[in-house]
Amino acid sequence: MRLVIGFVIGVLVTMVATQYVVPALAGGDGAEDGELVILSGLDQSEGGQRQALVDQWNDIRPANPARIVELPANADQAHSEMVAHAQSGAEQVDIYNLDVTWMAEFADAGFIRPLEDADTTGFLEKPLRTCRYDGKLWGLPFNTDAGLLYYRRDIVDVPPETASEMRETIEEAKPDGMRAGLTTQLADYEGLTVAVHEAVWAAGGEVVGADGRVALDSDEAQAALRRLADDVRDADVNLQASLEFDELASTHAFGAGQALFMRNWPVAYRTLGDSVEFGVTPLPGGSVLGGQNLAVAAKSERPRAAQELIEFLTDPRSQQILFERGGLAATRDIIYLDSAVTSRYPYAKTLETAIQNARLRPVTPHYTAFSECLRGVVRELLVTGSLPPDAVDRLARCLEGR
Amino acid sequence: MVGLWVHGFPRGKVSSTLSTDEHKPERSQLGWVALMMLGEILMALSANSLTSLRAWLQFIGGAVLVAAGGSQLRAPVLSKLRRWVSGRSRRLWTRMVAWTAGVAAAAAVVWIGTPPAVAYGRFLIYGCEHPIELRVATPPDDVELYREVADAYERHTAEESLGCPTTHVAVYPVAPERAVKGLGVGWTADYVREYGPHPDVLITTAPSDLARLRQTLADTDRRHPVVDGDREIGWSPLVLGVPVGAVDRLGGIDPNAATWHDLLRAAEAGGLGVVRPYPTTTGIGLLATDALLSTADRGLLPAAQARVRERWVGRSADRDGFPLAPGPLLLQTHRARDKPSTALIVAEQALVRSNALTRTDARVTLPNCASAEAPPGCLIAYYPSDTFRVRHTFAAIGWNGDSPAARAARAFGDWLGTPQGQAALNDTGLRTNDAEAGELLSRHYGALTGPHVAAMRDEPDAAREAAVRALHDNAQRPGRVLLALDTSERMGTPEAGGRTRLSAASGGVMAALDLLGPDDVVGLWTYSGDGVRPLVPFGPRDAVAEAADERLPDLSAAGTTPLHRAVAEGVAAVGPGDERRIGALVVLAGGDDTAGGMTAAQLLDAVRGQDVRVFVIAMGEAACASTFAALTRATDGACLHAGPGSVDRALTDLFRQLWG
Repeated sequence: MRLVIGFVIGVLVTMVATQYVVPALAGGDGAEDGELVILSGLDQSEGGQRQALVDQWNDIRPANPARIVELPANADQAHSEMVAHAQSGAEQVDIYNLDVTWMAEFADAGFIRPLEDADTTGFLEKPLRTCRYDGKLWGLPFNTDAGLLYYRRDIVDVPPETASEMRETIEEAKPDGMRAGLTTQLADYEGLTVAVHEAVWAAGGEVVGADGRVALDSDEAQAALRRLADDVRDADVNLQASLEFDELASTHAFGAGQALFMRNWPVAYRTLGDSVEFGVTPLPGGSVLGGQNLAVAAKSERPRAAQELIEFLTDPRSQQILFERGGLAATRDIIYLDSAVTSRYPYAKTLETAIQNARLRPVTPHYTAFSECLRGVVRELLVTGSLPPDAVDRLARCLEGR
Repeated sequence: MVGLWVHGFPRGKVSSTLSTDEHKPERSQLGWVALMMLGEILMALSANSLTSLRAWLQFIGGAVLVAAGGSQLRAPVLSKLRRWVSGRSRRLWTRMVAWTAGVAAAAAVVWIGTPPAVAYGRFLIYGCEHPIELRVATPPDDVELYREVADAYERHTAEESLGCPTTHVAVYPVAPERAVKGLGVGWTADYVREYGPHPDVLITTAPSDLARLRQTLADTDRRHPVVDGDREIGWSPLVLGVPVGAVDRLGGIDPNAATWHDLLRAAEAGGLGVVRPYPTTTGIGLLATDALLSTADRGLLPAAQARVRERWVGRSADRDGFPLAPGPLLLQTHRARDKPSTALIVAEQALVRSNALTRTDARVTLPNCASAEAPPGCLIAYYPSDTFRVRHTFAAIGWNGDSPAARAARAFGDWLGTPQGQAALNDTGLRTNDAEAGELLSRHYGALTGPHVAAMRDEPDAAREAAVRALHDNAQRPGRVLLALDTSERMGTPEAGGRTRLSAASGGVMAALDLLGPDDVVGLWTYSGDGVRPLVPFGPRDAVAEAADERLPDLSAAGTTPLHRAVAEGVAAVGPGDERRIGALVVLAGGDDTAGGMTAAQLLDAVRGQDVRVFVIAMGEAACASTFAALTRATDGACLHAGPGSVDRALTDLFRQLWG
């Protein structure tokens, strides 16, 4: 009997030791040496500022040289490659640069690890919120984004504050030679999901309620979707080519004078240049919150060094450089007070307000599947004029990953 | 635990009248039960991942705990078992063997039964698990087709797994030749950035691609990727799609008896035009070129006649505004025509899908394409007696041994061979060997069924393919090409890697000159704040290349961007193309016009109808939209966006389009 008990205790002790004690003893307090690999989508900052920051890190931390591995510009393809990388773990990745909507998925799937003792003071509240899931902090915000309403300042004296004011302005002020009132992104990608959320929110409805349930069957949401379908079909209201547009395509359409208003991200400001006389204002009804966050890969062999690199890339000085030189909206509030930033980007305060008022898309580990489902349902709406009868059920299943 | 229930686990409260000694046996039993539960938990947690020493220790430890706990339970059934074992042998070692065998049997039961139970438990608590990501590269012509197939497969995996899809199939387009080259060099970071993720599955319509890939991998002795088997999953005949309103112009030719040569002669005699997809960059384009340049007895036309045939295709494209493009875009152009009079050499599945429209477009209810009221957009398929089968081949690409993605790729491939998978392929308009044709393959959608379909030949061998390419190259029209290089201030922007956009574009210019032929005439201009200036005047390729090599390094980026003037003046300088030569302006642009003086509308008026195709390589924040899109559409050109390291690749693709 004693032999059996002794054997059992021995096995248990060995198991506990191999699981927990040895790894804990092996780790030290300092950052691990070695290369750090950042997996990231295409750098759209002006002048490649992300690489510039990495170059600065490499100068000051020669023991942890970092490099960026760039993924396709297409967000769906970038997501696919990141997930496949995380699932295989075959090649070294230490940091993922994740779209804000991917955080829950990566956290839930165990692809990233929570940050330890990260200082979160100074970050804008909404971008920081996208880094939290299930009560833990999984990353730090690298750059943020919120949609703005671009308008022709030479035609519209007072920008609209509500969707109905915008429609009235289109009706009254759109010049005869101008093709449409509004251009936006309605192609079959995340742009359409964003448009649907903003339309439903503007009408006081919800796509997914606070209880986590699909809420598209509410009166407000139904009215918003009907209005969206009607506006899309009305060639005077909506530039018809918007159905094929992404961000750049709609920017160039607005810049070519084809529409009175444009919904787009701040990056369009630089691209437009002097092509038309325009101003920006917060979106009527509010915007979704965009942006990217940096997270430590769960399989990274240098998690402390990776976290330090993340903290460097998101510290005030790096955020200043990214915004001032690169045009990527900063995630720290103090940057919006900087005179160099506000003089180069006159819309900086408007953008900060838009970010503070922006709303998060549904936080779910199955967001990409849900977004695909939502787009499928909405495209049926745009074709037939009404929501499919099983839309809510389909979306509810997709929200669960089914 | 079972023993306790057999024994009679104390139900309800333990009687307070029992003495402490009488309680002791129950508490010790609870302790052994707890030990057994701990053991089962440890085994269950490691049962699905016995790939490390730690996992095995955990599993064995759990089994030992279960055995140890069970051995101490005072359950009648266990007591009987112990007495039976003891009774069979008085030797310690035989009792140990018997108990070990018992433990092993119990472990096996747990191992087999636990995963489904755990999976269901995890589903109830956590919802669906994250699916395996499966990256599928397809020819650009077939992306929508395989997205439909992918959806069907995901639904299938969900049906097998508590409604949770176990695989997410991400379908994306990569030109077959590019895919083969990329895989041959291990799908470097450049390929990821420019062309898409590492493919786990490659679907190709040119089986010779896989042979070339295997040869390349063998020659380079590269360990990865591994091409893990390939199989034909479906096929589609190459057909001549004739607009329903133009069928009579074929002079009553038998649609299933004539050869390609006879059919094309009848079309030309009837005043029909004919176009085909990219001739040498897609499998289907190459087959279409073979069909176009074939004789009645399946040989190849002499060079002079081939040139005549190619000029006819060029005139057809110019007359009806067909771009040099993949099949779906040709069909989209056809559908936009009010009175189409150009036939298209396409795959049957593309024709029927065009007739039915894709699921992403508004599904318009068409009258029967075989009826008298068929709308003009209908195409009727003609199947020449010497036509080809366009075979769709599936190959799993392995990167990391027997990874989850590799297993998912094999499972997807296996499913495509099942009746359900074959039905999904049929629903897209493909034909399969083992299943009946889908709904789209009917006269209603312009297709024919019957024994003639089965008699089609496979794609030509490598020797024939090389001969077709050579004949096509010789037959194409020489070009008068002007390269216009943006040297405005924005081209001085540094890109990743330290090069400026201007230096990247200059490298692209030299690469473009390499792509031109000895009969081509080329010139090189720059445009910036200093105006629109010739850098090297028009001349033969070699002389221009030599001069460009000397002068390009001295360029600097400065000033505004007089894009509109550069294009208008460039088009005028190239002069109109005709059946003997192609006229083209290739603009390497860093952005839109900033100099003013000519509006976009004025520019379009200046270039429209000049028979000079305008092609744009958009760099940096420039995008193929608005001005560039309108400009290239109006001149039947094209716009490609080039990242920092891919200007020369974009130019290669562009010149392939230019020479069709």
